[in-house]
Amino acid sequence: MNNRLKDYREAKGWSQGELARRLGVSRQTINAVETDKYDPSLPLALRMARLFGCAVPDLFIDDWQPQED
Amino acid sequence: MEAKVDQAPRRKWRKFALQALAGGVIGAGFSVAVGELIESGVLGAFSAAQEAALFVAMLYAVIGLVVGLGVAMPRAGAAMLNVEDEEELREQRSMLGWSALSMLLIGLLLGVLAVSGQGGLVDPVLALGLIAVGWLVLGVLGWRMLATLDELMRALSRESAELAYYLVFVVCGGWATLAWLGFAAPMGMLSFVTLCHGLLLLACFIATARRGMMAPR
Repeated sequence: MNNRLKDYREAKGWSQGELARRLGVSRQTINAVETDKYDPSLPLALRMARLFGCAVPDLFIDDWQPQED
Repeated sequence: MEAKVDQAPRRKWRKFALQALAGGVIGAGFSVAVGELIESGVLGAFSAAQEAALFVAMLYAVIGLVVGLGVAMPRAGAAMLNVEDEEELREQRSMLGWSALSMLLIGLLLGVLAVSGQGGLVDPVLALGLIAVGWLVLGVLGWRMLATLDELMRALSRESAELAYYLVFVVCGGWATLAWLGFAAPMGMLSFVTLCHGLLLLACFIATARRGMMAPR
């Protein structure tokens, strides 16, 4: 799933290590999410959104649209 | 500033190429050493299955050793291992430390198994005792390591186990099918154990690569 984690992180001026420390995960996790190799769990996605003061859909982009009735 | 940005990917690839080269040299060096030891006959005569088991045991032990040394000496480790910098090794110290110990122990236990058995270097009763205690210790190490894993590492662990199951199913199941039908020699028990170890290692590499963790950093 595409995401804007890197943009948000860089806007704060944080390194991957700094963000990892704030979220309590490894740098590898941040790197894997930023390169679209790993979709974080819902709790981690919520923590990321809270940390950046945005909504989860602002961070993670899903093109899916509900079918109209 | 621009030149710096341009050079960063090149530096990453150069580091990656050097790491791959060093890994190849270390692996080849240990393979030759194990091959020479077997050829010398000092440890007695080995079957092809025992040689394969010793080779896989060496792979586990060498990986454990390299990661362990990398964690113990982060500055050198950052040059050897695929991490961003030495600080990352310090952050991951406990997880990588437990992991290195486990790899070393798995290699050692498979090595003991390979040189044991009827007429082997190690008495079967002693070998069984060593392996049972070793797997108990591995269980404790695994339990300790669980606490140090974050969600990506847990996902990787699950994916590796899942992939290893399918690989064992296909390779060992395929071999057994061919043997049952008379198209291949029956698989020896040691070969089965070796395949389980080897395929688990292969599954770990595949799962790691799929998560982009083998890419230059």
